[in-house]
Parts: sequence; C-alpha cells; structure tokens
Amino acid sequence: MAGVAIVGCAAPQYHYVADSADNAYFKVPPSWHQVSPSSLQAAEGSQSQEGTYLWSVAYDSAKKPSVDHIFSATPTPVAYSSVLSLSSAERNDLSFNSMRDLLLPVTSQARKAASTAHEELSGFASLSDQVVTDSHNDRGIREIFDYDLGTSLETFDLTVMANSATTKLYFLLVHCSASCFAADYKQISTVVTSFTIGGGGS
Amino acid sequence: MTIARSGSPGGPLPSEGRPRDDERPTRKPLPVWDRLKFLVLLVLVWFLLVWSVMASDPIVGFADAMRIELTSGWWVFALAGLELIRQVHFLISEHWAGYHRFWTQTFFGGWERERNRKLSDWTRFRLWRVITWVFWIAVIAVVAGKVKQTSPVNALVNMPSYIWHALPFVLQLLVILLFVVLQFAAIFWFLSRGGVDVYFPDDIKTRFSDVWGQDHVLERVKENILYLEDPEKIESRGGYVPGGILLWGPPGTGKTLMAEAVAGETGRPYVFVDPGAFINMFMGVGILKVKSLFRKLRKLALRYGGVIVFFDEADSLGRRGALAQGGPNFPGGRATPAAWHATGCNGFSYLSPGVQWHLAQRALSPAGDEPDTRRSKQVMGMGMGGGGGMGTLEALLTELSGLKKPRGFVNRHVRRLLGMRPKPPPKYRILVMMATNMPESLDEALLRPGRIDRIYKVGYPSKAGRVRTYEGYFAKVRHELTPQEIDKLATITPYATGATIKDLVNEALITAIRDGREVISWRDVIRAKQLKELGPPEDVEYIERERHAVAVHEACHALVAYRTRQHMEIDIATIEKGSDYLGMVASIPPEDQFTRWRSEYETDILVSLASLAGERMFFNDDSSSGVSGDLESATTVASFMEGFWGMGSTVSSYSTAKRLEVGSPGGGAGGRAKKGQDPEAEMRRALADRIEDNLNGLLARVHEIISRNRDQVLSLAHALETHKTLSGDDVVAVIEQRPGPFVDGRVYADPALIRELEQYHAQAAIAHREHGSIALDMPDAVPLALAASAAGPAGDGTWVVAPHPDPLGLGDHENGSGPPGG
Repeated sequence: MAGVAIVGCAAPQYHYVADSADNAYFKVPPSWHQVSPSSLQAAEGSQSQEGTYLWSVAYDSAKKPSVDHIFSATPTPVAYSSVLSLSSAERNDLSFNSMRDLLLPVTSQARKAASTAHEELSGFASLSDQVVTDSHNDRGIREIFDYDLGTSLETFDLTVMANSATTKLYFLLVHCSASCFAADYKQISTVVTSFTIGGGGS
Repeated sequence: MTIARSGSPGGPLPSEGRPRDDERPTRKPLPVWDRLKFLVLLVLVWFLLVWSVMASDPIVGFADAMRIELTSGWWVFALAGLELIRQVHFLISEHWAGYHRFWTQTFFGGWERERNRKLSDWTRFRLWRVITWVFWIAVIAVVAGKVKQTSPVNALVNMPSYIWHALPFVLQLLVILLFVVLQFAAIFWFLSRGGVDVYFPDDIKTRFSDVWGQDHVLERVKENILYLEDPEKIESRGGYVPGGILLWGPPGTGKTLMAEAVAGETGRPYVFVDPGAFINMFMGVGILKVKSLFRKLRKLALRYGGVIVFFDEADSLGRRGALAQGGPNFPGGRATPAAWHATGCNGFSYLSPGVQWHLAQRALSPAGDEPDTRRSKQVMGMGMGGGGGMGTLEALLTELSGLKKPRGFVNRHVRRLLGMRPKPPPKYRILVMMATNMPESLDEALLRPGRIDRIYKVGYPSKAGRVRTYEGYFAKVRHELTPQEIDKLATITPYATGATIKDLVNEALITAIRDGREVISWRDVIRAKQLKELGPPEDVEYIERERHAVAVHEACHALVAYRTRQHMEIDIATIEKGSDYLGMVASIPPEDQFTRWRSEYETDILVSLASLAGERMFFNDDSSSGVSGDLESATTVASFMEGFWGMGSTVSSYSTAKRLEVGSPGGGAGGRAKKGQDPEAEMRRALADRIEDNLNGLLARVHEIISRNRDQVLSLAHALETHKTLSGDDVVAVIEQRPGPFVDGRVYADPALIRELEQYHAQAAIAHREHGSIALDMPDAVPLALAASAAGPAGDGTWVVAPHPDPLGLGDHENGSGPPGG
C-alpha cells in the first residue's frame, strides 16, 4: 500500500478527457483548463452544418480559459473536440474532403467558394495532410494548415474521424499562433495523437 | 518444585486448560491473517478501481490510473486508515491489560449496559433493522451514483427511473427464471403423478362374502366401515371414527382381498395407493406425492362424506422403525408363525410396557444372522431407491395426524386481514388402511393411536377357515370332492392361505384339463399339491443298494414317528429324490395346536435320531452323512429344551443369562436330579455336555424302539422301494399289517416275505460294504399291492405332501446331505 502510495504521490501527468457514451477520448496537459461548457454550447449552437452535436468539450492552455480563444487567433494552444451524429443525408455527403472542410475551408474548392463569398480568410498553407485509419476500421483525416487570421498567422491541427458505420463524426482541433505551434509542437502532438475513438457502430 | 500459574497470554497453559476469553486480562492475540485480511481486501479493492479507470478510458496508462485513483479512491484509503487504527487498537489491547479493560469493560461494557437498560430487545432489533436498511440503501445509492456518474443523492432520487428503464431487462430475466422453474415444476408434476387409483362405489365387485377364513378380522373391519358410513353414531357420543387400520400377516392371507372387499362394500370412494408410489428418483417427489394424495383425499372426503385410502405393502413406507411396538402381539422374530405355533402362552401382555419394549427390542436385535442391518438400508446416490425415506414418511405422518391448519387463501389470509378468526378445518373422514407382511419395519410413530388406531393380524387361516376357503374356490369349478375329502385337504395343507388355496384349486383344474377331464378329482388335487409344494420330482434312478439304504433310512424315521409321536401324523414318506433331499418323511399336525410340550419335543428328537440309530443298526455300525440334517434338528431342539424352555435340568433361560452375563447355571437345579447322582458333578456339567447326554440317552431309546420293530422297518423299506412314495395311511397300513388306501399291509404279515426281506437286506448290506451290486433281486410284492387303486402305484397316484414350514425342521426327516452309505 505504501509503495502504491509512493507511486501515486504525484498528480496524473495528463488530464484525461472522455465521452464514454460516444467513446471519444483524448488527453491534455494538466495545466490546461476546461472552457465553460455552457459558453461553448452557446457559441457552437446545437446544429452544425455537418450534423447534430452530441458532445463538445474545449480546453485552453491560457490562464483564463475563454471560448473566444477557440474561435479566434490565440497565442496559447487550445483544444476543441466534438462528436456529431450524422443523419442519413449527411452520411451520404460525407467524404474526406468534407471532413477537411469541416471547420475551415481547406480544399481548393472550399477555399474558392469561401473567397467568392468574400470571407476574410487568407494565407492558407497546408503543412500536412494524412488519411488516418485505426484498428476499429474508423477512418478520417489529419490536416495541419496555416491561416492568416488578420492579427497573426495561426496554425491549425485538425483531426476528423468517422466511425465505421458513419453514424458519428468526431473531431479534435488544436490551434494557436504559428510561433506557439512550433514551440509547443511536442505537447500539441501528444494531445492530437492521444485522440482515440472507441469504434463500433454506435 | 512448584510451577507458578501464569495468567499472562505468553505464559504456560494452566493445568485446567485453555483460559476462557472473558477471563483473560488482555485481548487474545490475532493470527496474522486476521490482522491483515481487511487491509489485503482494501488493496484488492483499490486495484480493482485502478483497473476500472483503465478499462473505462483506453488511453489512460497504469501509472496515471493509479494517480487518478489516489484522489478519486480516497475512501479506500480512509477505510484502510480505520482498519489500521483498529489493528493498532487490538495490538495495544493484546499487550496492555489496563487499556483492554478500559475498552471492553468501561467503554463498550458501559455502553452496552446503558443500551440494554434503555432499549428492549425488540426495540434494538427494530433499530438495527432500520440501520441495516439505511446502510444498504446508502450502498446502493453510492454504487448507482458511480455507475451513472452522478451524485449518490441524485442516483437515489432517479432510482425509480432507473428501475423503470431496467424493467424490460428484469422482466426478461424473470421470464427466463420462470421458464427454468417451470421446467422443474413440470418434471416434478409429472413425476408425482401415478401410483394412486381412485375407485368409486360400484367400481369393485368384491364383497365381504368373498373373504373366507378370516372372519374375526373381517368383523372388526366391518365395524370400522360402519362407523365411517355413519360417523354420527359414534361422534354424537363423544367418540371419533377410528382413522386407521393395519392389517398384517404372512403374504397371501387375504389382506389385499379384504381391502378390496372394503372397497366393494363401502359407499365411499376408495383410493388405492400403489406400493411403488413413493419410490422416487428425486428427493422431494415423495413428499409432493403424499401432499397431493392427501389433498385429493380431503377433497373426496368433503365431497362424499368420507374416503378410504389403502396402502398396500405399507412396509415400503416404513424403513425407520425396527419394531412396531404398537402391535399388541407382534412376534419377536421376523417370521410370522402360524396360529398353532405360538411362541408363548401370553405373549408379553402381562408385562409392563417398559419391559415389553425391552424384550421386544432384544428379540428383534440381530442374533448373528444380520449383524449390520443399516447397510442394507443405505440410500443410494440421487436418493434412488428411497422408499418411504427422504421425508416421505414424515410427510405422511404429518398428514395423518399433524397440525390441522386452516386451509384456503381467503380463510387464512383475507379473514385474518379483516380481523376475523380463520375457520377451523372441517372434519375430514379419512379411513387409512394399510397392509403389510413386515410390520416390524413400520415406523412406531405411524402406528400410534390417532394414526393407525387398530392393528389386526391376518394370520394363516384356521382349519375351519381353510375348509371354508376350499369350499369357496371349489364352488367356482366342477369337482367331485366329498366334504370329507375337502376336510382332509384342509388338514393336510396346514399353512395354506387364501392365495395358495386359490392357486392349488387352479392347478388341480389345469391337471384335470391336461388329462382331458372337465371335473376335478381327488387325484388331481393331490397331484397339484405335490407339484406346487415339492416341484416336479427329479426323474433320478438310484442304484439298487443306495435305494435300499435311503428306504431303510426313511423307514426308520417313519416307524419311530408312528410309534412315538402322537402330536403329528405322517403325511407322506418318499424316497423320490427332490431338489434338495433324497427322501423324506413329512408329518403334519392333525389339529390346530397352540402349545408344544416337552414330551413332544422328545419324540421329535427320537424321530430325528431314528435315521442314525437305524443306519448303525442295519449297516453294522456304518452310517451316512445323510443324517446331518437330522442331527442338526435334534441338537437344536435339545439345546432349546435345555437352555431356553426349562425342559432340561435347569430353570433359567440360557439366552437371558448369556445376554446379562450372569453366567449359566450347571445342572441339577431343575429338580430333576436322579437318585445316586452327584450334585456337585451335575453342577459342573456344561450345557453342551448336558445336551450331549440327553441326546445319547434318546439315541439309546430309539435304538431300542427300532430293534423291537426290525421287521416293520424292513417292511416299510420294501414298500418304499416298491412304491417310491407312501401316504401316511399306507405307512400305518404297512406297520400294522392291514389294508391301506393304496398299499395292502397284510402281505407283510407273511413270515416268509419277512425272511426274504432279511436276506435281501443282508445282501444289500454286503453290496454296500463292497460297493457291488445286490446279489438277490428285491422280493416281488407288486401283486400284493391294491390294484384297485385308480391312481396306481406307478408314481402318479402317490401322495406326496410337502414339509410344512416348521422353523425347527422337526416335522420332516430328510435324508438330504449326501448319499447314504457312501
């Protein structure tokens, strides 16, 4: 017992975030703080373009976590994750490209459409583009890209996964300024690679 | 040197043994495992929680899971801390008497005294019950909170909702459970069927008039039926209808027939319980059967005003008691002797119940023949073969006379709920009849008044009963038997029962039909009797000298029996070889006699010893092993006379003296000391010596009798060699040299024939000695036989009568152990 106590003297190295109902898991450093769920919910609404929100959570490494850090440029890393349920129509429209364009226009078509609509997005640069498959046959993409949000260059690390039955869509977005991203890449990468979905058809 | 007594736990044990716990000044030291077990358990619980964290989140590592549980599993550490404090407290108590005294006597003792003063036991019980409930509700709330990831209070509030949501699953489980239970219920239901038949009035045609030879029992049974038919007759006078009858006695004496007659006579339903009904494969089926049987009986009793239930072979229910002491005169032994073979003048009835029980127990205790009766009663695995065991008997006892609890749901519960007293159960008039041939195997509790009120012995029918039974069965077939012949038949079949009589008549009919006749004649009856009692004769031809030796052997028996024995008549003398004898002389009692006398036993011994004396006399002191059975009989009777029946030189019972280990007396105490006897020498004679002396004296007597009747013995031997089998009357005819029914004895009055017989015997003796053949032909006496006999002497008209089942083997004198003169 004493030995166990010694092992456990320190606090956990990470804070483990879980949505047991939908089997979504990731971990963040313990210094990151959860953004108020109510303000997050208010900001995202109940319905996205891609589906209905089942669960959302956001963590901010800033001393004062704010939902604004998630949806705008931020000098410190933030993590934002959600689970969306997909209707059959949404399921039919789902593709890797639609996953890439889930939050920001990443594909050229999406960017072209966005510029047509005169959106204030510029300075796009794709840093990494991967297709991800896990042991449960869940598939998705991981995109790392830059956008100039006006104040500074922001780097986004977006992972989007659909379960094998494509009934649910999971995403984890970690972003901060390009300099911050480069500096904290190891920490950010740990967060992103810990993102796990449980698989299954539920 | 003085060893100081030490009260310390570490000191040596006091000579009085281990001290009582409440006498110890300190707490008794705990074994290491007891000290650690809760801590070990808590460690296990904590690791379980760690595992649970890892299982619920696949990205959590072991180290982090432990770190997480360090905070969230705080309560485990709290409990471990409490346990640690408790163990420290125990440890101090084990070493510090003052500390231990403070806690046990001052603190807890005072608290307990206070509690006992303020709270009654009942209040404490209720309080504890409330605490228990609260505890478990709290545990459930915490567990539910954990499972639902909410607070215990929330979980408790939402519990109805959880239950409601879980209801389909619970119902599913219940259905599965119900299915499993139903399977068993169905198996047991099917298994508990059968073995019970209900007959309604007029279903059975047998009447009391069909039961013959058991009138005394029948009258009693009729009385019971009368009371059942009209219970008011006895109940209005404050009595009650006798509820149970046990009919016991040898097989075939009409117990079942009597029960069938009851069924035919009564106007009530009659339930027949098969003897195998309570032999089950599974434990509990017997109990179910008994309960369902009595439920049925109560229903029938209410509907028809009474019911009769008959348990055939009721011993299958017993198996618990070694003795049915309730029976007034059950025999001490296992055999049930015939009426004329009563063992004592009064049974035990003049003794006190305690002495009766003691004697009966002794009588039933194994006397060497069955040392371990328990072994035979072992119930096999799965309870197979369990008859009345496995609770069946107990269930029956309870149903027969258990608590008369109010019946029916409304009666028992609804009426009580409304504050009404439940109605007492109605009077179920159930007459229980049981039949058995092993009353001693029935449970004593079963036979007590109130359950089985009346116990009747259905013994072998008396001669009058046998005559009536023969008449009854012969009335159903065509026959030409005269009343005298039927009377004679009843006489020569002393142990016949209803069943054997029915069988004999049927066998006689078959014999007649086989001969192509429609009408039964006397000859058919005798042949049937021979066939039934002796089996078919073995068609064995003796060599001449052996035939002669057997004939002489049997002739000696027959002659001595005729000359000395007045209480038995010779029924048959034969030298035809049977399955286990070479020849025999069978005797029967001419009348029903209930006592035996010393003079009779002496003549029995004389008849037994006749073979030895005769063989020695006729074969020049040679004798065969064929006398072994005779000597066994003679020795047995002589031993009983000397040691048990007070017919020797002592009075006391040898068996009792031996059992009580008081030593056996010497001779001379019986008042039979003869003149010139030395009393001291007589006293010192052992029992065996006295028996041997007695037998030697009797052997000398029988030698003398045979010497005086040498001619008659040779005549009888010749008649036996000629006809193989002689009836009792023919034996007498040969001895008395007068005409008999089949043999004319007058031919043996011819001195020339006697001389021829002597010469023939002399040659036979030589042949016997030299193992050769007899030089002379047997004197031809065939023309002298009564040719008028329709039966003829060729064996088919022989009167062969089986030995009666005399337990001591006195009536029959077989030559069975080996070839004589071999």
